[in-house]
Amino acid sequence: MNVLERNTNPQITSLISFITILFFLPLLLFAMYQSVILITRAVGTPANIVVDAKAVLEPIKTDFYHAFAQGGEEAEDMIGPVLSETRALKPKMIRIDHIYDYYNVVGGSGSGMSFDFSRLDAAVNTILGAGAKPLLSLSYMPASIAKGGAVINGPNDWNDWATVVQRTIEHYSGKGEKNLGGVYYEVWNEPDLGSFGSWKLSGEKNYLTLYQYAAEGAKRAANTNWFYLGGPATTGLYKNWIMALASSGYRVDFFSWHSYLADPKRFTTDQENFITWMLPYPWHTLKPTLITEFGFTGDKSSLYNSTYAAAYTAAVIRQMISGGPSYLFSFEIKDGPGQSNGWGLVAHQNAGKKPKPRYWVYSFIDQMVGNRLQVTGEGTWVTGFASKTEKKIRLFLVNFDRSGSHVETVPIKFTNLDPGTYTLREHFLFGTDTSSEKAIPDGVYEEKLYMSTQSIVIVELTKTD
Amino acid sequence: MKKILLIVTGIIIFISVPVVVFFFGQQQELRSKAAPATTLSIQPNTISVRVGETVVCQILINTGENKVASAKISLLFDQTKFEALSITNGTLAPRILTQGTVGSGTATITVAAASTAKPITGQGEIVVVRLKAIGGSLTPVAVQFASDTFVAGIGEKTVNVLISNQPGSITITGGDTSSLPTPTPTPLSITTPTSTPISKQPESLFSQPGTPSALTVSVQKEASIGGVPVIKGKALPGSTVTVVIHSTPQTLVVIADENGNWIATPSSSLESGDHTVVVTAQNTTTGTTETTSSMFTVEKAIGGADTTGITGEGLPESGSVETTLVLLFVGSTLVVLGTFSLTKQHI
Repeated sequence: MNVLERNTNPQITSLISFITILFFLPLLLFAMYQSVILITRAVGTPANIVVDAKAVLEPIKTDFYHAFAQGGEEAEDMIGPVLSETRALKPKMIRIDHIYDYYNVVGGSGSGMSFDFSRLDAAVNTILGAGAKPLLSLSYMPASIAKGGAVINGPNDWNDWATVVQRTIEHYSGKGEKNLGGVYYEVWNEPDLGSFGSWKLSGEKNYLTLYQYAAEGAKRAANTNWFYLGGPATTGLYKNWIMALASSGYRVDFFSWHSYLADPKRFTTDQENFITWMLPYPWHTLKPTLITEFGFTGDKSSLYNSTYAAAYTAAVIRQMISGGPSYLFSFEIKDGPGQSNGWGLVAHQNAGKKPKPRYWVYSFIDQMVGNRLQVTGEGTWVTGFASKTEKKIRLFLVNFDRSGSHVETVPIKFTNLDPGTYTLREHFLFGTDTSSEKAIPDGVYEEKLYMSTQSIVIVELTKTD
Repeated sequence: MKKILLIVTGIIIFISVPVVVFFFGQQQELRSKAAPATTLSIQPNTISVRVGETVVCQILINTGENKVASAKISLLFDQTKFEALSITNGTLAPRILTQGTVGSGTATITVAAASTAKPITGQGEIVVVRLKAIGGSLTPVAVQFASDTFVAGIGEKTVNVLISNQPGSITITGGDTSSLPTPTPTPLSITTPTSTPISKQPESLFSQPGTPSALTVSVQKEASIGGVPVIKGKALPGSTVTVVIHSTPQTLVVIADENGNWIATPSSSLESGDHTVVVTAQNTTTGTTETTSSMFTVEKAIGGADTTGITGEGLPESGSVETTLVLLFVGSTLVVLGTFSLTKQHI
């Protein structure tokens, strides 16, 4: 017995205990109830996939995810040493930033400003050599014109910034110079982030002013091929940034943002939000949307070296396969030097340039080209889509679990098949690849498919008779 | 002479160029100020399917004079009667801006033109939705446009150029309807955001002469006070009865019961004043139709009840709350009892 109990009447102790319990019981109940809600929410819906081979939807696009970004891990042409690995990704677009502070493009200021694109040209030539078009993030402020020489600041004279943009566009899109068509120029990179200037939508470091003078420079650029100017390239899809740019009245050829979202389904929500915001500006709804960096976390993570990243990427592409952005840029092509937990699809050349699991996802999904078929019964973890070509019907499934442990035996069913004999192929990325003959006299084929943690599979039916 | 001709020609050109430019500009101005004129409808407008069957519905657009950039199509239906399987773009809308999503009683997609240079114009299919009948119904089930349906025009007076939409009506046959209540009409309400009605006018406001009419209509006068009259009558048993109330059109579709009785109630209150009700009955066996009409007066409209919309419910959370609460209660009781027994031991 403690001191309190020894000096107190036992009946009073019991009474106090009883009152205390009565007082805390509702709190305990509430806490437990909340815990149960959390637990039950963690329990999701298993998939029960049904593919209707006769319910044909729209054509599947396989180009939008062949877009890649390379961060500024080194102040040089980083893609050059992994050119063959990059080319094998069949990139349509490659984005680079740090174009002014890493490549010494600009010298001097005002009327004494000079330009030397030779080092940046080397990086752009590598991009072209990989078979892609460049997206140049107009970043950061050339030190020679920046306030205090800090590249994340605004310029001393906004006209100098306009001139820098003008000359950049004239150099790459100018008919008399590099003569490239369809180059994307993105105004800055993650302007909202402290590391890149913590720009706002008002005040001294106003992104709209930065954009305004970039648009002015674009307007001044003469004798050029068609090019795209856009932004705001924020760290996420932020309504105030998007709406500010949409209603600014400046030239906006595309909208861009970054998406570091753990849940692949949030990409769909973002796309819906963007379009909802833009409906009052109908002309903007028709402009390209670019997610110029994406991943499950903006931090470095060893998960980027694993099948987790591959499954995540596949799950995001599934979400964007219909109604997605014009381009979805995977970040990034190559690790920085000495990084063991970098974002790269490929290890740094010093570490052997070895492709990581995510690297193989893009060409794997390319097999799904064709017209999309109706799929019902996607679950919380297992999602997918189906396609049809003249001879083949394919079902793509990915089992992505954010906690990294979920396995599932998935009932899959193909209906409305033409009766006959088929070759059934089940090809797991990073796993088995098996084929067998199946007689399907009634036009329905079903089976149960075991999907291990973070697995990706294409089930393919090819009619043989 | 030649000089004079040259001078005259020069003067004509000099005058005609600004005149042509002026009138062209005027036309452009007129074009840019085209009023909203776009309508949406569902095809087939009325159809009959069996439980378990899938119906493919086209969402049709008629842009009138408008140039359309994009359209958000949101559909609502009874989730106990239909399961949406898919929704995608139609031939007139080559782009999908947000992927089609189907939920409980809802299907939504945003589609768009190829570019501002090639806007959506004219008439045609912009969306295709597949619905599977999952529950029997004694009355036709409405497939309606939700209030957030939006058609964005380019260079028009207002951004949303949608002036009206026409829902669809699907009769589901077969299935277990024994547990269903007696014919409570499922109102199929045509909501017209503006005053331009698009409901199809009946060919005649009167019964077709020379044919024996089984169709009657009456309006309960006392019920019309307050703006929500009860409209009822008789038709051939099992026939589909379409009731259109004017002047602000509302359409109700009901099925006559085995005795031929039918009853319909507007989904929203009517303004005070004179109204006409036009009733058309279709005999599903013979395919013949009968039409009759009646006039009635709403003496005093009280307030304005909102149109009864079909709203999708959110997905229920996994697990059973009741079971959880019982378990928590039992557990907590055990904790209390245990604490008391410990306290007694100490004492």
